This record gives sequence, structure tokens and C-alpha cells, in this order.
Amino acid sequence: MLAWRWVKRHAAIPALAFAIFVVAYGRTDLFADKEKGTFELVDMQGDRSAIEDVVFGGDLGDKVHHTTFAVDGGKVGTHTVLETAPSVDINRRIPGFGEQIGEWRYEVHGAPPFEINRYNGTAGGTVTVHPNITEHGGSANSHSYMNSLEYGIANIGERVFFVVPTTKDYTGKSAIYELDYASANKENNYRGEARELVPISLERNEQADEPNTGIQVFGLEAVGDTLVLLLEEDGKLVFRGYDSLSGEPIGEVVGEGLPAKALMNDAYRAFVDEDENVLNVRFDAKPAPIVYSIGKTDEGLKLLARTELDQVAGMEDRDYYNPSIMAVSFRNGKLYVAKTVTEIDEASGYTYRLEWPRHLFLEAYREGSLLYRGELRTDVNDDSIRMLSPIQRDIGYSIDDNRQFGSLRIENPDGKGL
Amino acid sequence: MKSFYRLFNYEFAAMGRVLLILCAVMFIATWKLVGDEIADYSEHKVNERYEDIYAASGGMTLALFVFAAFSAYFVIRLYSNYWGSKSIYTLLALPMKREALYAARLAAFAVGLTGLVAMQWLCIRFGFDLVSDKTASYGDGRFVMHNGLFLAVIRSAELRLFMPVSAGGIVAAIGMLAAWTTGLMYVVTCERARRYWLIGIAAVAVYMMFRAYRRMTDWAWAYDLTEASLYRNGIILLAFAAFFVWHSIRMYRRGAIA
Repeated sequence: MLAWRWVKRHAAIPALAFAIFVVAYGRTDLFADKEKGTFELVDMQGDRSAIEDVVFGGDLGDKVHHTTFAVDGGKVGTHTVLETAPSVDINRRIPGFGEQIGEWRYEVHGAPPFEINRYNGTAGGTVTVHPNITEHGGSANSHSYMNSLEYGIANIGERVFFVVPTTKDYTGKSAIYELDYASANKENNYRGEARELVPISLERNEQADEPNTGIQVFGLEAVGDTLVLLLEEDGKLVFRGYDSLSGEPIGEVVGEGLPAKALMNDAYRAFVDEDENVLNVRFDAKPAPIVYSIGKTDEGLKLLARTELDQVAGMEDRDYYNPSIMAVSFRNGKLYVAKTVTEIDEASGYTYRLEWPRHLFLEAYREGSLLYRGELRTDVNDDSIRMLSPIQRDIGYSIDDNRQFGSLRIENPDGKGL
Repeated sequence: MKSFYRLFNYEFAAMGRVLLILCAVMFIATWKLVGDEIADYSEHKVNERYEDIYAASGGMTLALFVFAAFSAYFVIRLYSNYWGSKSIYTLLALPMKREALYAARLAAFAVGLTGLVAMQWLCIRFGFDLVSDKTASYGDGRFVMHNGLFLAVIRSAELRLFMPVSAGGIVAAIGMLAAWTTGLMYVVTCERARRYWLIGIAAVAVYMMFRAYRRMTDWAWAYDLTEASLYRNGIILLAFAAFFVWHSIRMYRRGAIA
């Protein structure tokens, strides 16, 4: 009875303290969970020491949070940030959506002449190039190219270059142009000038009926201050370097052993190691993708490695619905690959391919052979639990609500950690 | 101060029974609602995420009803002083400052609402345990969302009302609670003082609460803008609360509530 009287006389402040404790403790406890997502490196093949000399980094996140992870010296560290816009950085070109380089989005329009537009939300400009080329078998309204036209754009810092990814059906004179967006202003209606840097003769294509003769252009890339033109020349894959200031050729590398059929339709991706002056080009060849690592040295271009990427059965990095997000880097005499793969399993129970489980593989190769493969296990597939059901009402998939990998990178360790 | 403390505890204890009943109702009903929502969950059904289960079960709606019910009970208690024995005259005749009377009532109400917020958080927590135990019981654990409670709160616009994620969210949530508590008492005070048109100020505060709520739930890609807006809304609501307290005390002092 006495206790009850005490409660009646003094309960309010203890009650308030308890309520505040429940909420405050609940909040602390809850947000302490932010680093509790699974990030665990599981060895699949080879010895982990093969990747201990580099850092594999990246982000996994949705609209409301993302976790930056780093596999450094074979150990996994994470750092989670709430309520920051995620890094939507899908390392691929989506045909028709242009290409993002730094702050600018580039789009190429037209048949010869070509208009190359760029914009960043507040500013923009257009540069028109007039290569004197003709497509045989093309019509006024229809032209074919080796890749989507944005493959022809490359940049070195603020300088922008363009080449038309012509096929064997084109004859005439093409060129690598330097596009001067800086001169685009209101007076000239935001139209900049183009400068012909390297002329490219397509003369050989006039004898295109003969097999293995002619020139096709896949695209243009840059490493350091060197432009690298990717060509098929007389049936061979050629990486030809040009000085970006003078346009002088500075050597070339012939990529052996690539079936030419693999080269059509946006089938390559380039990854540049700026710190190592290496250009890595991955071709979607069959049966296995091939990576050419080309180093820029004082003597010119040099083929450092040609690596056929080892594939795991049922783990697809070329799934149309789940484009692989990847990073490729050549350093320490090894090729490192980080890539997402889709687990192809028709019996998985998922209704839509979009929802098939994704995995992140970390790999290291030396002289073309696989040294190590590990999987960085995460909770990314938990987001698809809703879809893991035979009865499915709607799909409602959004990258806002489902975690995505992004910003994959491979670097030398800087000792700073996350 | 002593008389405030005594009256504060008296008011709180007087509401204690109803508060406890409401807490029990909220907890048991949430348990039942969430339980019903996942009753037929299995590996052959669509397994929704916890935040969607909680919203679909009606847990959040129930919480709002309970908050409304407690607020209504508090208002009825204020008015009951004017009915029957007209105990307001006894209260006003107590040998204490009138602002102590105001503060004691307000504080008791605020403690009650804070208690309900805490209870709602416990409901969310235990509801999650209910769901995760269930989903772990079939399909070899394939249906368990790892770290699911954390993900549910940061992903759900409604759950973060009770568990704000950012500092701005906390300011806005405290501002809403403060504006609601003081505003409700202000409306009753104005009505008793027959200064009806002042109720319009409380209506503006309610509008501001909706704005803050929208900012909390309808957040966009620009987090820094949202965060600034939450701070702004929270501070405006706190300013409203301060005004309500100041003006209510003025009216109490003048005996306008008699």
C-alpha cells in the first residue's frame, strides 16, 4: 500500500526517465547495427595472398544509405553512411543515353556530319564534325556503326576527342577530332570548334570484298596524354597510340587471338589505371572475355598482358538483365578484376531474371592464368526476398529500394584505410 | 516548485491508469495485427519487407489512434474540472502560483505522450522479432532480411517518425511533439478564456506540423536540403510551442480560465 502511495506521488519523473531511456537506448542500439551488414571474403580458388598487395573498394547502397567497403590486405573493412545520395556509377554505356565523363554528359547525334553535345544541367555546348565519309549500302536514314557513337569519345582532363566508329562499309577520310567546348558561348550559339588532329584514311575499305582487308574503328580511349584508337585492321585487332597534342603516332600494339565476331555491338569496356599508365580493354569474346592490358611507356605502347577471364559455370557476368558492374586493373604484374555476376538458376524460384542473385567476385591473374578468386559475401540479395516467390503480383523494382554495387575500384594501398 | 512537483505527480498518476491501458492496448493489438499479417507467411507466399508488413498491418494507424485517444482523454480531463463539482475553483484557490498549475498539467501530458512514443518503439521492435522468428522458420533462412530492423527504419518514411535518422529529424520530431502538447493545451485555454480567434494560431501550428511530417517522410535525393528544411521546420515548431507556453501562462495568471 505504501509502495502504491509512493508511486502516486513520485512516478512522473521516473516514468519520463524510463521513456527517454527506451527511445535513446533504442536509437543507439539500432544505429549501432549500421555496420552489421554482412561483408565477408570467402576464398573460392587459389591463395588469398595474391590480392593482398592491392585494395579492392566499392560501395553497396540504396537511396537511404550506402556502405563503402575495402578489401585491404585480404581483410574487409566497411564504413556506412546514412542519407547520402548513393553513387550511381554503373560502369557501362547504355546505348541511346549518352556517356557520362566527369560532370558532363555527352551525346552524339546525326549521320555525317555529327553533332557532339554535352551538358551538365546548367551549361552545355555543341561541336559539329564533318568527316568526309560515305557508307556503302547505307541510306539517308539508316547508318550502321561498330559501336554506339559515344564509344568514339575520349577525354584527357578537360580536352575532348572524337572519332566515328566506322565499319568496313565506310570509305573516304575520317579523323580523330579535338573538340573545343571552351570556345562555345552565347555569341556563337554555344557552338564550339573542331580541330582535325589525326586523319584516318578509309581507302582500304574500297577493296572490302576481299577478306581480311579494311579498317573498322571500335572506339577511342585515352591513357595519360596518349590517345589510343581501337581498330580492326586487315582482320587484326590493333591499338594505335597518338600523341594528343601533335597527333603523331607513337606506336601500336596488335592484339592477337581475338575472334573478330566478338567485336560487334558495344562489346568492349575500357578501364584506365591512371597511376600506372595502363589501359585495360575487356572484350566480350566467346567462350571467355579477353582483357588486353596496354602500358604507355616512353617507347610507346606495350602489351603487358592478354588475359582470358576464367568463368564460373552458372555465374554470368554478361547477363543482359543484370549488366555486370566491374573494375579491371593491371599492377604489380598482375591483372585484378572485381565484378558482379548473376547466378543463373532457372529453378531458383525468382519470377524475374532481374532479381536473380548477384555475387561480387574478386580475382587476380598472372600471365593469363587465375591465381585467386574470392567472393565478397554481402546481404545484397536479401533485398529480393519479396521476389522469391511463385506467386508474384507486381515487380516494382527500383534502384531506390534495392541495394546496388557501385564505384568498384582497385588501387594500391595508401595505408589510410576507410 | 514543491507544489508544482506535487501537482505534476498528482496529474500524472491520475492519468496513469488510462495511460497503462493504452500502452497495453497498443502493445497487444500491434502483436495481434502483425501476427495476423504474417499468419500465412511461408516459402510459398510473397514475403514482404518488415516496414511494409508493419504499415500494412495497421500498426502505425493504431499508434496514431492511441495518441489521439490519449490527447482526447487529456482534454476531457481538463474540461471535467468545469463540470459537476467545478473543481477548477478549488485548483485556482490552491496556495500556489497559477503557472505551476499550467506547468503541472502540461508536463504530465508530455510525459504521457513520451511514454507512448517509447511504447510504440517497443511495439516496432517486438513486431520485428515476431516477423524475423517466423521468416527464419522456413525455407532454410532464405527469407530472413539480415540486419532487417535497421534497414526497415532507415527505409521507411513512417518508422523514422518514431526513430528519426538524422539530427534534423530529431529536432523536427521533438518540435512536433512539443507543438502538439502545448498547442492542445493552448486551444483549451483559449476556448476557456473565450478568445476563440486565437485558436487560429494553433491551426497554423498544425499546418506546420504537417509540413514537417511531409519533410520527414517525403525526403528527396537532396539530403542536405531536406536536413536544412527539417531543422527549419523543427525550430519553427519549437517557436510555436514557446509562444503557446508563454501566452497560456499569461492567460492562467489573469485567471482567464475560470
